Amino acid sequence: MRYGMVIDLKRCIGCYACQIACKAENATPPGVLFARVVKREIGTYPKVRRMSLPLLCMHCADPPCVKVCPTEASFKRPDGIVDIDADKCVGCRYCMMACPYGSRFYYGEEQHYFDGGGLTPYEEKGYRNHPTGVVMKCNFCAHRVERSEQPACVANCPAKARIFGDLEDPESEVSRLIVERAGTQLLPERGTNPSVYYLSP
Amino acid sequence: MDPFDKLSEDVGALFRPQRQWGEGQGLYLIWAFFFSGVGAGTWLVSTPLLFDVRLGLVAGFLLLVGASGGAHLAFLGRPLRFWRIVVHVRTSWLSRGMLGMLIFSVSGLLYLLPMFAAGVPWSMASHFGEAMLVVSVLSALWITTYKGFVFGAARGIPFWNSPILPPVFIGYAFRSGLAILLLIAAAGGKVAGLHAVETTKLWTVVSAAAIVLFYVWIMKDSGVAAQRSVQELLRGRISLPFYLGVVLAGILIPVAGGSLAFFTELPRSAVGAIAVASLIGDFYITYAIAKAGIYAPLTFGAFPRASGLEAI
Repeated sequence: MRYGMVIDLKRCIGCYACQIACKAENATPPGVLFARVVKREIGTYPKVRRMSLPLLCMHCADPPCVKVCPTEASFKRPDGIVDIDADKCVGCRYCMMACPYGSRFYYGEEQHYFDGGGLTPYEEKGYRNHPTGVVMKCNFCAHRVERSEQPACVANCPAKARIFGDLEDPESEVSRLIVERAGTQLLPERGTNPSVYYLSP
Repeated sequence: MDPFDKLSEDVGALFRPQRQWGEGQGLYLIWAFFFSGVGAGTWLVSTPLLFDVRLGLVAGFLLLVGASGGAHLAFLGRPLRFWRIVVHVRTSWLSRGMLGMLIFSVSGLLYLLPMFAAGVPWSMASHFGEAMLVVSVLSALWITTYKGFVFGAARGIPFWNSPILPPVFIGYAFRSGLAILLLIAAAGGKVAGLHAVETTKLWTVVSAAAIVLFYVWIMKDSGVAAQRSVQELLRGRISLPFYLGVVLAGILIPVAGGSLAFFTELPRSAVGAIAVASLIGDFYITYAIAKAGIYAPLTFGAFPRASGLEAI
C-alpha cells in the first residue's frame, strides 16, 4: 500500500477550493498552507499561458525530510504517508531545508486570524492539534483516510482534478491515469520519488 | 512585514528563499554555528599539539559548550527536548554533529578539570589526560566538519549541495581559532610564538578566501537555483553582508594586517583589531551562505505540453 495522488492540470481551474478546504479541515494558522495553488505564467508574448500549479506535501517514497530529522519526529507510515510526531519535534527546521517542495511549515508562536479578539471557538478547537515550536505539514488528511474518506482537498475539488488512491495497486484509478497519461513528478532530479503525480495540461 | 504575510508571499514565489535559518529566532542557529566553529578551532590550535595556549583551551571550551550550546538551545522551538537530537545518528547530520558536541563536552571537561581542581586523580599529562585530549581533538575536528555536511544534506537547497562546504567550514574554524589566540595576545595573555600564529593566520585567511571563491565559482554553474543564490550573494539582498562582512572584514583587513605583520611588529591594539575583523568575517560567511539559500523552483518544465513554452 502506498497512498498517492494524481493532479490533472488540464482539469484544474485554479479556484483555490483545495487550499480553502484544507484550511477548514485542518484549522491551520495564518500563513500555513498545507495545500496551495501557485500561479505561473509560461511562454513569451504572444504565446503566453497562465497556469495553476496545486502543491502539497509530495509524500515522497524516499523522503529527505525523514532522513535529516535528528529526533525521528518525521516518519513515513507503512501506507506511504509522511507525517510528524509533534511530541518528538524539537523545532530545528532541518526538514524544511531538506524538503524541495516547501511543504513544511514552522509554527513558532500562536497566531490567530482576528486581532484583538483572541481565538475564535473554531480556532481554539482546531489549534489543539497544532502545538507551537514545532514543524507541521500535510498528512493526506490521515484522520479522514483512516475513516475511508478522501483527503479534504480531493473531496472538495469542484473540477475533480485530484484523484487519490493506492499507487501500488495497478488497477487503481491513480495507477491507470499515471500510465495512460504519462503522469509526471515534480523535481524528479532531486531523487525523492514523490507520490503526487501531475497530468500534463 | 508580518512573518506570516512573508511566508504566504514566499510559498508562491518562483525562487523561494529559505528564511528559517537566519531570520528572527533562526539567527540563533547562525550564532550557534559560528560559536561552534570558533570554539572548536580555538581548542584545536590551543592544544599542546599546536600552539599550547591554556587560556585558549578554556576559551575554546566555553565558546563551544557554553556559547554554541546556548545558542543552539535558543534556536530550537522546543529546547527542553534537546536531548532527542542525538537519536537519529544513522542518517541525520544534525544528530551526528550534536553527538560530536556531546563527546567533546565530556572529554574536554575531563581534560581541563586538573587545571582547576587539584583533587582529581589524573593530570593533563597522564595517560588518561592524553586520551581525553585525543578524544576532544577528534570530536572538535568533527565539529568543524559536520556543518558543511548539515548544509550539504539539505536536498531542497541546491546552493548548499556542494562537497566544497565542509572544507570551507574547516578552514574558517581554524582561522577563527587563530583569531581568538591573537585576541588573547592583544589582551595581554601569554601566547608563545605569536609571530608563528600571525603567519599561520595569514595563510588560513588566504586559503579560506580561495576556497570561498572556488565555491562561489562552482555554484554559479550548478543549476538555476544555485545560480540565483550566487546572484543574491554578489548583487542581491545578501551582497552587503557578503562584501562588508565576508570580503572586507573577513579577508581584506586580515590579509592587509597579516602582511604588515611580516615586516614590522604590530601594536597589540592592531593585532586585536585584525582578530575582531577576522571573527566578523567568520560570522558572516555562515550567515551569507545560509541566507543565500534558495529552493529549486517548482515549474512546468517537466510537463511535455508546457515545456515548449519557456518558463518566465
